[in-house]
Amino acid sequence: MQLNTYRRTQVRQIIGKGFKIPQRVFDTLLDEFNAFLVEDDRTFLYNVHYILYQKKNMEMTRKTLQSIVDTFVFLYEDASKEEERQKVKKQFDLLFDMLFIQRCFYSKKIEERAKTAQKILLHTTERLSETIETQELMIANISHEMRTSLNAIYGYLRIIDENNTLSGEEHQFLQKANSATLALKSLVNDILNVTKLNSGQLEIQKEYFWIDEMLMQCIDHIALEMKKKKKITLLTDIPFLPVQVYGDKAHIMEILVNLLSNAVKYTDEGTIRLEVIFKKQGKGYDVGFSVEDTGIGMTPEQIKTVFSPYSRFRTERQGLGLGLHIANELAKKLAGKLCVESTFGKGSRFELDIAFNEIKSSIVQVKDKHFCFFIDKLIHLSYRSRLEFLEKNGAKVYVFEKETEFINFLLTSGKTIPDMVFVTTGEEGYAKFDALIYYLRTLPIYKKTVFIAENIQQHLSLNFFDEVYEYYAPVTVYNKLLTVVNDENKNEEQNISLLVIDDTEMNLEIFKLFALKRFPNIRIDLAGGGYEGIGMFKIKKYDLVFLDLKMPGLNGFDVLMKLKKLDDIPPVYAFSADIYKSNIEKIEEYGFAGMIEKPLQPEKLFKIIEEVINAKNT
Amino acid sequence: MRQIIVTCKEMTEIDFIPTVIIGFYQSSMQLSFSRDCTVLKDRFPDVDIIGCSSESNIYDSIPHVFLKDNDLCVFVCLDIKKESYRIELHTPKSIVKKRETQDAAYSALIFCSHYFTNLEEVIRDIQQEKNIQPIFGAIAGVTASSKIQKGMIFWNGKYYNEHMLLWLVDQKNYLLEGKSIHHFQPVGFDMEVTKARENILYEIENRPALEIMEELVGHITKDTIESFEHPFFLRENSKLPFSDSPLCSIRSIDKKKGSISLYRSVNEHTKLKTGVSLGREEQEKQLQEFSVFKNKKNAVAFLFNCVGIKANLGLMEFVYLMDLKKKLHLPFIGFHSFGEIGPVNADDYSVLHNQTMSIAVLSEREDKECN
Repeated sequence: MQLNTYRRTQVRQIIGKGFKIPQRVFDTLLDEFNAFLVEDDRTFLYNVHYILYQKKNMEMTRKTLQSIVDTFVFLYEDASKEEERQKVKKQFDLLFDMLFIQRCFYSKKIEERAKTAQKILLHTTERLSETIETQELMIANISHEMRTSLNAIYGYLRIIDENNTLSGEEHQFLQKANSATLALKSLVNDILNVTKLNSGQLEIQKEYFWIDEMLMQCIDHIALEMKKKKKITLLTDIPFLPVQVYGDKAHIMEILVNLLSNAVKYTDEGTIRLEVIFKKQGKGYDVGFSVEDTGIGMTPEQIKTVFSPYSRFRTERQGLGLGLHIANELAKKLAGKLCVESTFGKGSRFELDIAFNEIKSSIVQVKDKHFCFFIDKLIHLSYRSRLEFLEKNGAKVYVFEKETEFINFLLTSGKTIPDMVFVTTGEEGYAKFDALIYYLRTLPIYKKTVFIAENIQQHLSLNFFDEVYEYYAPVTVYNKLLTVVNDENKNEEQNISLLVIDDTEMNLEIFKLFALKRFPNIRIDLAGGGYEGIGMFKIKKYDLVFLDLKMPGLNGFDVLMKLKKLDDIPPVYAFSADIYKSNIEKIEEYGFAGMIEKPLQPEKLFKIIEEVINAKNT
Repeated sequence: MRQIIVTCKEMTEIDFIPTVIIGFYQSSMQLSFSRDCTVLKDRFPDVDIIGCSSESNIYDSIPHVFLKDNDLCVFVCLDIKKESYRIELHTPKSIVKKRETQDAAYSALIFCSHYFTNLEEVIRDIQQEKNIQPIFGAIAGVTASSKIQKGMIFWNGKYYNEHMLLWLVDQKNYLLEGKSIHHFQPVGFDMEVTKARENILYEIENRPALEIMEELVGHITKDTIESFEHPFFLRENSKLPFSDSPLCSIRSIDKKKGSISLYRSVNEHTKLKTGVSLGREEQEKQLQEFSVFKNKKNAVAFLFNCVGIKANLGLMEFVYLMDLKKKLHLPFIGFHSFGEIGPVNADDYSVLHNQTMSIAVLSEREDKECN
């Protein structure tokens, strides 16, 4: 089958329908096609295949197929002999096989490879999940052990410190050991937090709380660090929000303490400003917290990675660099937003926005109470708003700016003895009023008055004030302070029995030391294991039980199950270093009254004991 | 350096007197190759003819890859100065001991009849101790297979089936350079070889190697082995990323023992990963890397394509070779091999690997040309 002039013209027309090809190229193409038909020379076939593959154009491939079919149909019909027709058919089959069938085979192969790749990906994902789970378990176990040991170290150091038995160089060593323990505790907590966040084990625990109270607690957390930096001042502007908001107080505090702590860490001189803005939004409030410092600031590059894990760019300062990463992740979990602005060399400003959709209007029980304030230095507006709030709630407020008038009032007030007296003054003034309180305490009429020193920004040894606040006491704690003073005698009269079950002797010892220091009249029995604890429980009545979860033999859950089979069991609190969500859920599921974390948090322990004492009284 | 690539049908087109001729032939064409070599030797009595059997031949004209029904012997004829090269024939056991330190700096092309258990060691020693580098080359065949005949080396009219042949080229006058590419990327976890001997992989991560592989890629059949679908990346140097580590294909499996036989040796504690095929665009990008050798003057390229590439690409391989032709713009000749020798990166030492397209470009040094 030769392409004669007539056939060349016809083929040119057929191909010309689909493609615009220059004359010279067309001639070469037809020559190659002729060689393919006549001599089996495959140059044409290979060139067409290569072009189609390279162009990756479906439309072009379709048109090419159309042209090939039309051309071969024409050649087949135009062939005069059967032999020629068979040759045309054979070459068409060859061309079709090369251009399309082979590509289909290849595509099929690629599809199979994609399936294998998917299988590998699936397998890798499964193994990755297993690895993560194993790591989590490992970290949980390590953290448990670390926290248990830390519990002992932290507890013993605190007891030695509180006993004031060391002096001079030895006391300095103790302080250094204390500081290193706190750093280690913070590190273990950071690692645990990251693990919890990564594994979705973070427990959101909402409660109603007062924002100003929370902020005061945040400031308390950084008080020690602030004291070390003598050239920085903390300025606060915290307007009083007269409602309780519903949110995860502990985690919001964690974010804010981190921001404040960073501000202290990276500011050597100047100010740190803590501000809050409230905006009514529907039934709740949008609250914007901001922490601004005049510290070293960040470059634009540093800002980009500030929330990445281990991004501590200022390596000369302490820490692993996990804090801001945790803060940012926590903010996301709380449906909030953490933003940063910073100028290198000038300082940084972090803003945390959180929406509180649920609020509770609470009345502070200050009606008919008498509050006396002595303020002899400049104070900011938020203080005034608190005084207004007290008056609105029915309290009688007396404010003095002159020392003589204030002292006169206290000495001659007669029947209007104040329930609470607040003093904000200078260093010498506090010492003077401390002596005055000593005198007033000798008078029976002042037996129930609470004396509070506020805005103490330096370390002063005040012996007769009931409470001392770095900034000011939130109004929400006024009730509590009044109750504590009034109930002081009650507690002394109370006797309750506690059972603590833990396989680690050190834990038992520290627990006992802390509890008895605050509640010297309570009785504490210690059990070194599950069976021993159950045995003790059977022969004696207890008001409260603390139960370690991880013990050899019977673990805490098993012990609780056995205790539940006995009659009249008191509140049983879990005592554990495993603070994973799954563990917390399990604790709830088994019916523990609550959980107390290791290392032991004395304040939480005291609160639980107080509640049991109060419940017993009522 | 004059050069021409011809098939046995085109031998009359040789229009100069070559000093070296390198030819490749499919194993079944040994008689034909012997006949062609006799013709060439009669015509050019002083020529050194080196030959190597192949799974199939490749050269730079259509159809690029010879199919079994039209396989021809292919030859590259080179007019290279006699004093600038030497040819050595070794057995794998003798090579390290017998080779003497050379005064001149040499680079080398190596052809092996089949895989030897100490081949990686030999390759390393030649480069590091004998200072012969770079080296490129390929393995002609396997020791025994139902389908493939034994690999053979040809030199001075004789065939050798337990040997390796070194063609050492003086670096003063000639430049030998090149690189190896492949179409795979490492995926999955790092795994450790916990039991292996020579080229047999018994255990990975303390479990039977075959069990681990089948868990990862699915059932391994004769078809999957012959299509070279699941190569390993073997990393012995922990400083190198897996992507720069040699690829290694599965040669056979032993279901009873749960072991996998490979096309190269493997050591215990070696890390490995499975490879999955790159997408088409990535493959084309890889090919682009060869364009650094484009348009070199007085140059010829040797191309050693793994039989795995042929199995993976099938008839589509010619598309890649057409593309390579455009990128190189050099005459090239080569064959489908059972192991290629070349560096993953141009500056690295050469290693033995599988599943690669390895190119070695021999050119006359331009400064010599000026002289």
